[in-house]
Amino acid sequence: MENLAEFLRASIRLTTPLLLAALGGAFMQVAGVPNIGMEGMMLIAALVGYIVSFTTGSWLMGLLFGVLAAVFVGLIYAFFVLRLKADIFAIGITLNIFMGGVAAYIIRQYYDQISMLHSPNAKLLPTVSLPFLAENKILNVLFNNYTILVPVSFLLVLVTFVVFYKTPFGFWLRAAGSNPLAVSASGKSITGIRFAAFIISAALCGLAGVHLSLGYLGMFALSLVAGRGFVALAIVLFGSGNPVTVLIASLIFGIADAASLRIPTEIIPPQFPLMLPYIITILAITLMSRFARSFTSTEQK
Amino acid sequence: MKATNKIRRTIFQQGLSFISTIALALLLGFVMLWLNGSAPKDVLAAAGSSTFASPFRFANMISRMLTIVLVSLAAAIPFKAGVWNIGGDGQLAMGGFFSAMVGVYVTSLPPVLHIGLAVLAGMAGGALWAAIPAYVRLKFKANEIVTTIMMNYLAALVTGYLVNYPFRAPGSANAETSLVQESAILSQMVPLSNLSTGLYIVIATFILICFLDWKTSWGYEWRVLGSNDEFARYGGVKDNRMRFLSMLIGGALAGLAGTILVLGSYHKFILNLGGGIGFTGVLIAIIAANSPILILIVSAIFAILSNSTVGLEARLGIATEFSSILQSVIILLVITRSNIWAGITKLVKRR
Repeated sequence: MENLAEFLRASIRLTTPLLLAALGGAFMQVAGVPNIGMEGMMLIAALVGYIVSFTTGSWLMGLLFGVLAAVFVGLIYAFFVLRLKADIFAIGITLNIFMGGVAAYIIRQYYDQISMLHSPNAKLLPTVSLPFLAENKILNVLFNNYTILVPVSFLLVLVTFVVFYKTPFGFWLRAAGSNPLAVSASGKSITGIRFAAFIISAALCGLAGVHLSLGYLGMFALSLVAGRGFVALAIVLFGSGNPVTVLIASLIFGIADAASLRIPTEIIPPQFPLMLPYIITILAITLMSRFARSFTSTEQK
Repeated sequence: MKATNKIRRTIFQQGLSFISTIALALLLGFVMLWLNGSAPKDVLAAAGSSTFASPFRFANMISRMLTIVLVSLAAAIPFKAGVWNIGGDGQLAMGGFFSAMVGVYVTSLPPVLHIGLAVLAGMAGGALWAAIPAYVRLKFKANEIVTTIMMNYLAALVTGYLVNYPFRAPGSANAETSLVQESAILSQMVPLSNLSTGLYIVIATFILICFLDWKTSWGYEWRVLGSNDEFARYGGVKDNRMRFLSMLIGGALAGLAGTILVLGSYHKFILNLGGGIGFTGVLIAIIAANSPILILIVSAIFAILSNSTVGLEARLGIATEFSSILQSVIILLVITRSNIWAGITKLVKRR
């Protein structure tokens, strides 16, 4: 029982970065502009958040500047796509590679490290502990003492749902994706709505990145994001950006992630369990794509 | 006559804006380094010395260029047909591994046959790795950007397992295969360098791809598919078959890049064989997919860039990773070059 609780706890911890990024992806997806640059946004936020945290000694500053870094990437992305009308896929992929280069350059040039960055001065994200949960052993393991972005990420599912379906902004956001012509006809600016989607999306990806370095791992590594930006893209695609589907899919991937780290390596070589999340992503996107809204690189809105 | 003149002029203008945008980006790179405290004069000297100072350095640059050309074509052929192939890295690794298997474990063959067999195996390995995302894309509409990236991570793990356990060189401290047989080695062309007779294989492949692109119906159908798939289908192009084929060819080309690294440079399969070079190929395909010649030009520039940063690091202490930043900046500027030049013209006219 306790083992199961521990496992579920690990799953929830690993769900959070995917969930945050995928919610971010959802904001752009519903507005008709798929976010291909999540990997890069997460990576740069993770790096900047970590560096700011150990230079200022404040996790809050780390969080803030990590998110700002991702938003900055989002601004570049939006500028190229919305203003210069460049291909959203090409720019997204370029930005991912760009940010990989920037991160590698920064840790090499300024910290003389090759693939990782670790400092004892880094202030990690605080954990939320609720005393009344501590009394029950199982509940304590399951629900208590998470780093702050874990509960926040689940709360943001609710917020996203309300924004999408209960606010005028959400209405225009979804309209920009499903019927852009009608939006322009009614006098609203498609570019303005989509610009907001880019910024919100980047901020959420920034939270995801900061959670990985300052919350989950406690250090920065170039392989930290390890394709999670694209796993998040898969999650967004087969839920068509619906926050509830995003939550369910993120949980499934979080469980797969946790399982891949828990399979004892004495029985099978460590490479096999690590393949699990990637295989599941391919399988999931294959099976679900039949039902999801068609989405190919050639039919761009 | 008038029409062809006009076309010629457009092609000339396009080429000019392409090249001058790259020059602009390089200039920007100089300015960035200047602001960072390195005088342009020193930068040029350091960069030049690492590529042009001695024959083996130049040969190393050419060797790198061969890999870049192949991975760029690997992304560009599917890109032409409207499919993204971001999986060059994984395809390169699988191709390299397959060719190493043939190189190590097939014995007593004459060199020509042995090399031929290893090259075929390498291309098959790459094509196989591309076939999976291609199949799920065409059969189930599974987004290939996601699946090809996932296949990269899978290839790294699969080859990681294979060279750590079943095919690890006996007694080796590293995760790598044994050396390939003497008969499978592509011999060195310039002493001390990585450049091997794989050069001829790449030249032949490049000519073949140009031929396919310009002179056969395949090339035409890819272009039609990439630009307007509705029209292509009405015109009788078997769209799914052609797209699948383009991915297979892309995978085979990336596999060939891995093969040449194994048979020509390392003489064994090592982990992280390509070192992320597949992404460089994607970048180049994004701006140069329309033309194999452009791919050749940009590959040469990128190869010189990444070679030069070795000199920059040794002499001026600028991390080699700077080249990947500069490459991305080049791509972003080239994608939007028409906006940039329009903006500059406007500014000039206002004055």
